[in-house]
Amino acid sequence: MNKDSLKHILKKFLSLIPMLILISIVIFGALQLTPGNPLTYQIPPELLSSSTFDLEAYEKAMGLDAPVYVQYFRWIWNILRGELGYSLVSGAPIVNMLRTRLPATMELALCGILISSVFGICLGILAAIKQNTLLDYGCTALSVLAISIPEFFMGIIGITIFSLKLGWLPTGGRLVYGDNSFGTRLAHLILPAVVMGLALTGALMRHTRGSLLDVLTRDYIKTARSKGLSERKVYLKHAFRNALIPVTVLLCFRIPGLVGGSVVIESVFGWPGMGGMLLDAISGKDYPVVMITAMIIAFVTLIASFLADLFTMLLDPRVDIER
Amino acid sequence: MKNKKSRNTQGMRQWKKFKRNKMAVIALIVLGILIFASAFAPLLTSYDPEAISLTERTLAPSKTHLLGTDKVGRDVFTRLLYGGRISILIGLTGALGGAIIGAALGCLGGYFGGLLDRFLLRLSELFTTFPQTILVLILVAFMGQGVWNLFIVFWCTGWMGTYRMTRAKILSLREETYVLACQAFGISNRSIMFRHILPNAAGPVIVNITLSTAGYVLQESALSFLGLGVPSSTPTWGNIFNAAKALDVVQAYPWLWLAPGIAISLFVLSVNIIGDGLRDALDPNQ
Repeated sequence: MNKDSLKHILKKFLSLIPMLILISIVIFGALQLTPGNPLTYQIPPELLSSSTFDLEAYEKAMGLDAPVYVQYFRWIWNILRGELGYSLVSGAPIVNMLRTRLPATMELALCGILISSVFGICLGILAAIKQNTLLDYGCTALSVLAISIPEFFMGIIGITIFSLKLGWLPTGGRLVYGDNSFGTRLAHLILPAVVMGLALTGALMRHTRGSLLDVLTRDYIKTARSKGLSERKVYLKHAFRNALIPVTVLLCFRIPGLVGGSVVIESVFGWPGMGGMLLDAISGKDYPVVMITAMIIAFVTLIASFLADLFTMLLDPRVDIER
Repeated sequence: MKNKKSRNTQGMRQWKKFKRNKMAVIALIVLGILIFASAFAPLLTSYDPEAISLTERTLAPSKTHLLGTDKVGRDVFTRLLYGGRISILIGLTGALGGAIIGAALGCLGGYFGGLLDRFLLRLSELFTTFPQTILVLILVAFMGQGVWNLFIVFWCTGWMGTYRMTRAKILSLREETYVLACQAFGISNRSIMFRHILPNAAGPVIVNITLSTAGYVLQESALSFLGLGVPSSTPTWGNIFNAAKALDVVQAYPWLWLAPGIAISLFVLSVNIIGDGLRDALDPNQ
């Protein structure tokens, strides 16, 4: 790693800050423009319409009478201090909601990534090595299917077969009250994680296959073969390393989408994660929760795309850093 | 004249190449049937998609109701055909609109360069980094549900791919001799941009439009499934599938969700296969 690339990484990292500020302004601004006063949802209508009720005093107490930019800075300052505020609907501190929700989504996303990278890359390699055989066609067909069938349809099919017909797995949820054993947790996790990973598995498989086939036509593979290296060594030492670079990059770039895409999966399986939290908050007009969840997901996305950049550079020295 | 002829033969060659891909041809036929059936829905079914019939609730598929009826007695087959109209329209319009915006911005930025180009590039980076699902959810929450709102959401979030492709193509062609010749002849900037440079980027843009049509059909159905897409009074594939949110429906009335699920999957599958076929056919390097 030379000085130039270090400088580039630092520059990329610093550019995250204005991006985050901009995103926070967009999120704050969008929800300022949303019609309706969030307070009116909190106060019983008969109280709100009574003549003795003073809505302005309430607004003042909640800090809603201040100019928009003051409210924005107050919001940012509170987030930086770790005070995320309270849910308008349940009144619970948002920090407490996140404490159970965030690990749930992380658990699901990590398992999804693990499943899809193992299966996607292995099947892709297999299809490329056995190019134009029945195995190759089968894998390719499966990958197109996995990309095309919507997640919620796949999820409902999975529930029908494995939960309702066979009764092997629970229909949804994450934990059973009073039973925290590894077995129950795994049983709840397996179906959502597989469904979540399926589309990514398909994408990774196609990418691995294409990339490996491309690498295998290169001159240095011919050189390696003509040196008399065994096929295994050609693959392991020369082909895979180069073929998997673009695959890793794709994987990094898809991780943020997985976090966002968890909204659908969590809704199908009743998984108590960030996606479900955001969805509930949007339909319940729970603005503080919407803003915090969106901020967190945006933050995770930014970090993930920064890491993707970083990996690309570390793995592939040919990447032109002054792009 | 001569130019037109050569373009025709190129088109023929690409079509021949596409025809050799059997899967793509089958997919094209399936897609044709789906679009035809939706477009001519009133000819294929005599039921009204909104007509409630409380005496015929949750009937299993039979001769009178090809795909059965739903919980308020509406004919599922009819709703599927009419729902396809909205779903396919949203997919196509979303993809086309995003591509037009992207191509226009890409041309402007790439051709004129300078401050405008830098601003557009930053803007596209911002939109790309921002998680799309979240952006769509926030926009829908802010603007409310509706077909038009979905169009706007998809246009706002879907122009970056085409933008980057056209911009790159324009940058690489801007200094070519033939562009300089055009400028020397006094041809207007607009004509050079859109008539002499843009067609060179057509291949990847067409593939991109095809694949994003599939993407938007998926997104519409996912949003409608979540109850955030098209208002539930309008039948779309996602809205029909929404019935599967109740576990008793999943178990007892499979035709209610199998039919729209298969319709969405078939549409997306065939569009994806066609997109792959087009990519191979339009790529001059292959």
